[in-house]
Amino acid sequence: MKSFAYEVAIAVEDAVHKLGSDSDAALLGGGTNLVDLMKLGAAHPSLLIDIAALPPACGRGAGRRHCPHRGWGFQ
Amino acid sequence: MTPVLRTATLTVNDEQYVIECDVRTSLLDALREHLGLTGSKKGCDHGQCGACTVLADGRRINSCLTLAVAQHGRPITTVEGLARGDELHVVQQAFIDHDAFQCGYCTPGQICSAVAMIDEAAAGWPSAVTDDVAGSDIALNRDEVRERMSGNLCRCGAYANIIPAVQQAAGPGA
Repeated sequence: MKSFAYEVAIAVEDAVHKLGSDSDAALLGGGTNLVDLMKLGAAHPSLLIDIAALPPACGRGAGRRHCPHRGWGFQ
Repeated sequence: MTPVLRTATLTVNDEQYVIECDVRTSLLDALREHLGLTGSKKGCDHGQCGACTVLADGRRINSCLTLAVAQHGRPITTVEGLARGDELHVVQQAFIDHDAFQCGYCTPGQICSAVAMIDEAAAGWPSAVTDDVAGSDIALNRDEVRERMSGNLCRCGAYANIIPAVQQAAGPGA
C-alpha cells in the first residue's frame, strides 16, 4: 500500500475544505471498501480524510454527535 | 511518499495502549504486532473471511480493513476480552459445549461475530432473511444464524456445530 497523509475532519465544512485542498484526497468512513482497494493498489489517495466521527447531515443519527467513548448520543 | 508515522491511543479490552505506527497499519496488525494480542487471526487480510473480526463500540468489524489510527479512542473488544477471569463468555462456553470448531483458526472471529450478532438480533435489526423487517421480535432460527454469520468462513466446515452453539448462547427466547 502506498503511504498517505491522514487527517481527521472535525466538521463537515472542514472535510469539504480538506477535500478541496488535494485533488488526490479521499474520504475515509469505515474503510471496508477503500482500504481493501488501497491494499490491492487499485486506489492510492495521497490524503485520507477521516469522516467517521462526523454527525450525519441527514437520515439515521442526524443531529446527533459521535463520542468516541459512548457512540452516538443526542446533543 | 515517505512513510507517515502517527501516535494512536487504542482502547482494547478496557486497557489503553499508546502506539506509534505507520498510518497504513491495520487494526489487526496493530493488535497482533504492536500489542501482542494474537487472538484475532489474519486469514485473507481482505475482509472476506472474518477471522479478524473484533468489536468496535460493541459492533463487529473486520479489523484487517480498518486503519489503527482510525480507531483512536474507540473501545475495541477482542476475543481476549470476552471472558471475565476464569469465567468464559456464554458464546465461548457454547462453542465448547457444541464442539463448534476443528482447527480453531476462525473461532476467535466466529465468537466475536456471534457476540455482536446476538445483540443485533436482540435489538431488532432485521437480516436479509427476516420475514417481518418491521417486527422487533427476531427468532434466531437456523436460517437467521446462517445469514447473520455469513461473514465468517470456516474452512473446516464446522458450521453444523457453530449454528447450534450460537443458538444456545442466544438463549431459549431467541
